[in-house]
Amino acid sequence: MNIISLEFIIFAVVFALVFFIVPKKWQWAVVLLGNIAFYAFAGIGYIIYMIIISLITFLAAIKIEDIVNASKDELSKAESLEDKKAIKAVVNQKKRTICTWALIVAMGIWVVLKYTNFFLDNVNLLIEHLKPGAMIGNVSWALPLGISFYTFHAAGYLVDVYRSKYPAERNYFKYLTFISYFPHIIQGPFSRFDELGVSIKEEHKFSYDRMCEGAARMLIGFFKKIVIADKIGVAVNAIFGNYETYSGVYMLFAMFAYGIQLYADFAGYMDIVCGFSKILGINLAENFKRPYFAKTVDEFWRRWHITLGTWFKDYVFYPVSMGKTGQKMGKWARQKWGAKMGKLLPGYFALIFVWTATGLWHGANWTYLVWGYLNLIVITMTMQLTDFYEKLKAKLHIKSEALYWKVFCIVRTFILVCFFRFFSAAPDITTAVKMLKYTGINMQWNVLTSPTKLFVDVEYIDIFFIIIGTIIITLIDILDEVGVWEKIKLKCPMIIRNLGFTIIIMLLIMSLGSKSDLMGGFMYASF
Amino acid sequence: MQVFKSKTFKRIVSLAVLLLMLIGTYTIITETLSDTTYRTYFEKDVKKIKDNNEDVDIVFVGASRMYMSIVPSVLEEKLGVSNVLVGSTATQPICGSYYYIKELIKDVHPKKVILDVTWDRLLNEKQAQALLLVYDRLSGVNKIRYALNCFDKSNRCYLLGPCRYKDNILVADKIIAEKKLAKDSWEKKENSKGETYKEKGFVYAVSDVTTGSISFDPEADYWYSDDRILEENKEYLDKCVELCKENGVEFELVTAPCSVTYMYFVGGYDDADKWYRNYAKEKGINYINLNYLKGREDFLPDELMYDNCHTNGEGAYVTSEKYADLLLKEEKGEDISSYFYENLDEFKKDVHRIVALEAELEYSENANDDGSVDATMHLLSLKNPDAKAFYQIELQADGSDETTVLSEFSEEETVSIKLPGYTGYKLIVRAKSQYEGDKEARMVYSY
Repeated sequence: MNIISLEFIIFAVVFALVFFIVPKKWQWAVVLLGNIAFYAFAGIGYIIYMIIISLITFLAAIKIEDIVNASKDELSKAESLEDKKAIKAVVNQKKRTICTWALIVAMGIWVVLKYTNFFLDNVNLLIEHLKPGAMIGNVSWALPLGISFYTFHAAGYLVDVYRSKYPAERNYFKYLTFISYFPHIIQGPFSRFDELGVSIKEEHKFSYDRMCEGAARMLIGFFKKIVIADKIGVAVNAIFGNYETYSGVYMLFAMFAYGIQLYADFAGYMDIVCGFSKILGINLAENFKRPYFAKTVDEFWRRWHITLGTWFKDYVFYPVSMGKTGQKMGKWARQKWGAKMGKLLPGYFALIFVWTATGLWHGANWTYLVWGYLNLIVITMTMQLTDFYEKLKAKLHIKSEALYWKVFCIVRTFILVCFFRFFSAAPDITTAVKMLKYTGINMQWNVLTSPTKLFVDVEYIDIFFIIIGTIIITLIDILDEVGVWEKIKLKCPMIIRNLGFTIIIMLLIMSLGSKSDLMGGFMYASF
Repeated sequence: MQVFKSKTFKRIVSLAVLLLMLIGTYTIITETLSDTTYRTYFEKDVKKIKDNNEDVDIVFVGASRMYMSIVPSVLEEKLGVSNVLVGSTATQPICGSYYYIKELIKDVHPKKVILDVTWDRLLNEKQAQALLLVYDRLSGVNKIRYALNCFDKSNRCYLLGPCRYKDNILVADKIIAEKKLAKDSWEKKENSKGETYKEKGFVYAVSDVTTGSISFDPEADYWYSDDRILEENKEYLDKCVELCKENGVEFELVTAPCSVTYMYFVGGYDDADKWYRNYAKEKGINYINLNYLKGREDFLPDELMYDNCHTNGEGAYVTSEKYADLLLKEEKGEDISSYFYENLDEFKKDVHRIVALEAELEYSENANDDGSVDATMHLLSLKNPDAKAFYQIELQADGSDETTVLSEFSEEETVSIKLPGYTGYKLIVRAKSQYEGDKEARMVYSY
């Protein structure tokens, strides 16, 4: 079901009504039924993958917990420390085996469905060199809706139970409710069972204030998506799609416009689902914290798709950097280059895994890997050269807290982030490189004298909406960044607040009916 | 007093204020930016009929072909009926016709409904703009049903005024001025296309086309075959028949006049006519194709056409007179089939001229030393198979009345000519046949 549709609004209203009407102890069951109904719109057949992945992780988590519980008796009966150690070793071994196999099967399904064609394409490239003409045909499997998200939810849950972070869920349907929670299944956020899972199971009372807050946030989400993302995306597609025919200024514009489109699209979705969950009283993790106000690329990734970053931090970065290899590496680096490198090297090592995984998670294409490694290079360079930068800043009498410096850093980071995205926007590396080349040549700066020309294929009236929409959202983000937005919301007179909503709703209605084929589809849903 | 300070009261007030603001803004935007269409005037006419409790005998429903070729007063006078309404809208989809007939039956209780059908009526996909014109004329449950059944999901947003009229923001002053005019004056002034609303749905057009100069595009998708009929359109046509039957309203099909040129270049025109004839026979209803009326070439030449698909005002009066005569004869129980050509071939036998002419100019990229340019003119004409076309090409400088013959009348369809330069001239191409008294087909090619 398209979230930008009348069907979804009707579905959401009916769902919320039923949710608050049924006895509170059955609210989670309503959520489960809602999830199934939502999923059925995409093709009920695909639900089988979700059931298999959730069942594997559910049973494995229970088994792991049972082993731990059973070992408690044995441990209490053990007479010596050696006995206890031996029992723990056996238990850990069993736990690890179950967890590893369950993860291999669950993640394996996702890997096979998502990466088989990528693998075959590369094998074919090799074969082409060895035996021209011989090719292996691609598979035509459709990627089930949300599989990249629910597989990671399930894997995270299993690892958390393995680490005894929280007890395993004993009711499969309650667990399935968490895994399949429809607001987070298409684009996230990545949720944790001890947060969202618990929140879903709780009993929720209707709250008028919460409803208003949630509805307002949903409205802002629709506004970002419809007024900004879908409209500006027309120009981005037109320019990137025919980059050879446009001058450098157009390419630069498209590069920044793509950054705005991606943010409005993704953050818009998050506002809609977080707002809807807020109405229900279910807490969804925040995925954005005004990312374009980040002063470094590293900070950008702590503000953009936050839950993906924390997922990789918890389940990839720490296990790798704190693992045996990482520690050995740290020790070796400490002896060779000193304490600083001893501390940094395991981190760099882990970051290679994190950015390989992040790149590939976004798409089965070399372009995403390059995009990931570009981020990796800038982040590690920043970490490595921090001391040098500090010294340089001191020499040049630059104060880190000065407004001009902050603005410079923000602009620099925005440019870098947008620049990297050439690789995620292009269908292949050759095209990405060509697009970069066209951005640098034949600039034709005179186009800037009539800037509306840059909005290629966008209707004149829509340019007006894009500009107004972007100004409104930027203003809200600035106020939020300086910490006054919440206060304004609380103290704003009712008339002014309602006037604001009226303007937003009218702009929203006027922006409907776009000729854009992007209308409704979300960019991150394809990752 | 305590009540006014309570949280609940404040919430209710806040919601009510928001609702009022939304409704107010929505209405202001819609009312300010909505276009003035013939609906504004037609509704005034209908209101007058309803207020006076008058009977309505005949209602015409269909596309703009209807409201530009049927003059209610002529039919009323000739047939002696009380009220004839032309309740058509531009490029009306057939599903729109169904709901519109429903609305008219409910509102004005007509005795007879005449639906406009053409070769492409059942082939056309639904267009948002055309659907909306019908939507504007519907009310209540009928309007909701129409919106749900006829609008695609992607088009439903246009049902909201601010979305539909957003483009008018840029020409708001013009829209407001037009609206003022519509409010103040009952007789609308001629619009930019030379059309004037006259009465009960009828629109009078003053422009005309010169015989033979109607351009035609042989590449365009103008062709009919039975298998191109969209099932949904056929179903709605059936529904129209059933609806009228259920309500005891007589139902007829009519094809309004189009240009002779059009009849020649629309592929399968005759097949479309046959389909409607068979359909009418099968359903036990009448069908009249005004294009096949004997003598049509004489009484309604292309000079009385506004464009390929519509008559001009004068043509509308001629059409209405002829049509009224037929309806009268039909009413008397007379068999009117003898007044019509059997098929297009029979019709064509009465056409003794070059129907239309098209020319394409090909330049040499380099000018000659004396500045002149070598060019080739490719000529094409619509005519009967036995007709021979003789073409003549004349040159006329912009702003001058004098012409120079570049190529005398000849049968050649590819003619080499020498032009004095690349710009600033017109080429006048004439074509005539071997028939005696043939009017010349003529087209002007500016370059």
